[in-house]
Amino acid sequence: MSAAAGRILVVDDNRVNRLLLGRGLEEQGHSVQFAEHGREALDLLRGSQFDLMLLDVLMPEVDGYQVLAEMKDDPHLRDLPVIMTTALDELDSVVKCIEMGAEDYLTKPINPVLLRARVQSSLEKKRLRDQQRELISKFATREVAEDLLTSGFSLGGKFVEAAALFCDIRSFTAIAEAEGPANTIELLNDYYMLMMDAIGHEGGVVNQMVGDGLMAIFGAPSPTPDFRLRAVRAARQMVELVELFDHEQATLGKVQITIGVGIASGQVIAGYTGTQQRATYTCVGDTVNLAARLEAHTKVVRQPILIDENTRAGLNGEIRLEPQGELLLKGKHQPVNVYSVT
Amino acid sequence: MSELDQRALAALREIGGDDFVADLVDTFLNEAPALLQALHGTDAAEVRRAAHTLKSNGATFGATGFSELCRELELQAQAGDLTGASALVGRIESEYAAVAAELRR
Repeated sequence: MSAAAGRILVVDDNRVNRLLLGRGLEEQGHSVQFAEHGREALDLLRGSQFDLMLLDVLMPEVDGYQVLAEMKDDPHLRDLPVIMTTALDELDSVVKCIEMGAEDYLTKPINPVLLRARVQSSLEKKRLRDQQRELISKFATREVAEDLLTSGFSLGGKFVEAAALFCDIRSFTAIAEAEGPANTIELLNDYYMLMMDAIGHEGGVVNQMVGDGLMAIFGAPSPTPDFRLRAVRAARQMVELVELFDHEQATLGKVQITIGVGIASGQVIAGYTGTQQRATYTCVGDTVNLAARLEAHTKVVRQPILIDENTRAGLNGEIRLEPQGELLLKGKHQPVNVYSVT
Repeated sequence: MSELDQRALAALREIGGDDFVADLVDTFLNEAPALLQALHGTDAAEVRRAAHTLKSNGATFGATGFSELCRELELQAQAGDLTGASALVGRIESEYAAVAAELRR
């Protein structure tokens, strides 16, 4: 049983019920703590880690409903699974609790077999959610990950205003051939760590990594009014971090790299693509294509960062720019103005 | 005639054994007098909560009749109407005496 053991908080104002639930859960290998009313429960939840809470409805002062309501408003408690413990004649209240976010219920007096089944099922769901959260956090900042988990994994797409950023390492194929497999992977890992730090710091989400190329989105899925400025600040930080990295590489006698970054802003189609089990946040549309083109164009004009007119319009003159002429895109009649960030 | 449904007690023994059930009974018997006293109160919310706890504990020990009477009072208190409740409280108290006597054995 130890593999499925959890830390469980039992909340009940009735001492007989606390003893009974506590004993039942301990017999099943779980560690148990108790609270006599809602206020004590919330204090304990905020002070330590639990995997599951068994919650009574009718309690003095702060009742089960109030506990659920407070948990919903607290991002740290929102995802803790809750099983309501209730009398058989109170099923109306269970419906209300489930609407408020409780996961399941048990009727009192507690049946040990049902107790085991419901608790195991809730703990298992929590483990899956934790894994999902960890997976998301690899691709987004914690804030964005929380936001995604709260809003749910709707696979539907929508139009959003966002900035798309593309970045890659110049002449990476030649570097990879010269460096061999082990060094190449080490280099990529260092590079990704630095890039994701810079992007995450400005609230961006990395949604694609292919070889040495990555794509990030600013302004979605969490809307921010200054997403264009954030994208450009992230790009500058990326270039600075690579310079620092190169300095370190030089002292170690290792290979140095340069990167190119392209940013375009405007309407994108954003949404989750994939299946419920494995989904990525994807953005597509002209804006995304333009960002990719701008990134490719950095090699032509020998500038590290290129942005489009729409991105420039969102910078409020805070960033020094140099016009780099016009770029004609496939399938478009009007060329776009291009600027380099200095 | 027994006041207690033996299946409920057997289920409790299954969870924690004889000593555990003895502890559980002691806890119930220690806390019940204060709860029974609270049934005489005039604050419907307080009466409701005390009746609710007694109902729950009654069901735990298989005291079905006692639990039913407590439930009646709980519903009455929940509706905010305690008129004529004292007769019901009297029945609850005498039923409790029988239940407690059997649990002490």
